[in-house]
Amino acid sequence: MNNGNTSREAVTALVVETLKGVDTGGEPFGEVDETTELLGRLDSMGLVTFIVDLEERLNDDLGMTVALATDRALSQRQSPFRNVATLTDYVLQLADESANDGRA
Amino acid sequence: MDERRVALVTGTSGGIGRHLSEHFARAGFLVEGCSRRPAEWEVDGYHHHLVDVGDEGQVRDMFQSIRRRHNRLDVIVNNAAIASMNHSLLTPGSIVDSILTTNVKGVFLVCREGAKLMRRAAYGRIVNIGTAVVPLRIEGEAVYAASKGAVETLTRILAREFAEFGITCNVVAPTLVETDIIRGVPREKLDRIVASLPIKRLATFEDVSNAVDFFVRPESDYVTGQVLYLGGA
Repeated sequence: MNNGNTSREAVTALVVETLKGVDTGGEPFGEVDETTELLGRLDSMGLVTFIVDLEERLNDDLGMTVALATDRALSQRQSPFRNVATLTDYVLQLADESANDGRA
Repeated sequence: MDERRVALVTGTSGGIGRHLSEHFARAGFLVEGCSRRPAEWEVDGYHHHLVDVGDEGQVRDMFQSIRRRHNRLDVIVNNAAIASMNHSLLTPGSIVDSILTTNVKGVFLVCREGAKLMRRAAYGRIVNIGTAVVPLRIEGEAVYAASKGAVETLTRILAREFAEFGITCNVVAPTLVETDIIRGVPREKLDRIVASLPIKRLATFEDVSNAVDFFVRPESDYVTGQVLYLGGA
């Protein structure tokens, strides 16, 4: 189980690795870093698949139990799914909250 | 890891859920079952989860357990449901909330988490248990019938969303079956309902499992988004 102390580097690496494995519905991502955009690059099913894959890998590889598609994420004006960096921040924020709730 | 197929049946403390669990176990499946109460029965290959399907956290935890132990899921039968048969004028809002939470939200949550696991193998069979009360429009069952009508619509749309993952999604809608859920229905009313059916008897557990088997067969991969009413309803 994750204790809320997973490093930003580890989460970023997992986001990048998961993203590289997703069918974009168009051109492959090629080089991926923290500035790589998600919305606009992934088609709608690509985004769904990516989010589900990432939830599973966070759980399997880092022991983090997080639900990325929350009410808050879907209603935020500034979507956390904008790019790799914003998504990484969001994952870490959820993990912190989960640890504070005693579930992670 | 065991290579046997895995089936999840919800609402397995008794009735249709127990019958289907035993049916799948006899057919060689590993069976995962759940209900809010412990199962007071046992069969080889059956594993019980204490879960309220309307509770998102509990449903997630159950699927995490299934994923870790089996890493596959071939079949889901969403059977868990509650009913409260009463005139609408005497039905409290809290009962409506309970029925919709278990019968609609519960089915949705199990389908959602199940599809995440099934898509790994690009294969899955989801069967949601509906009711012929929807077309029969029986007085006193407004909320129960509405919840099952919602399950039909949910199933038809999930069938479209899940098709690209190789997952089919269908409904088996029996007429009334002799289970706890109709225990409160007066015999006279049951007789009237049966008299209105083309085939004049209650449904049996075997009627239900027979129809479920059709949707679950690997050969039924071109059958999705369908509602099968039993008994000619």
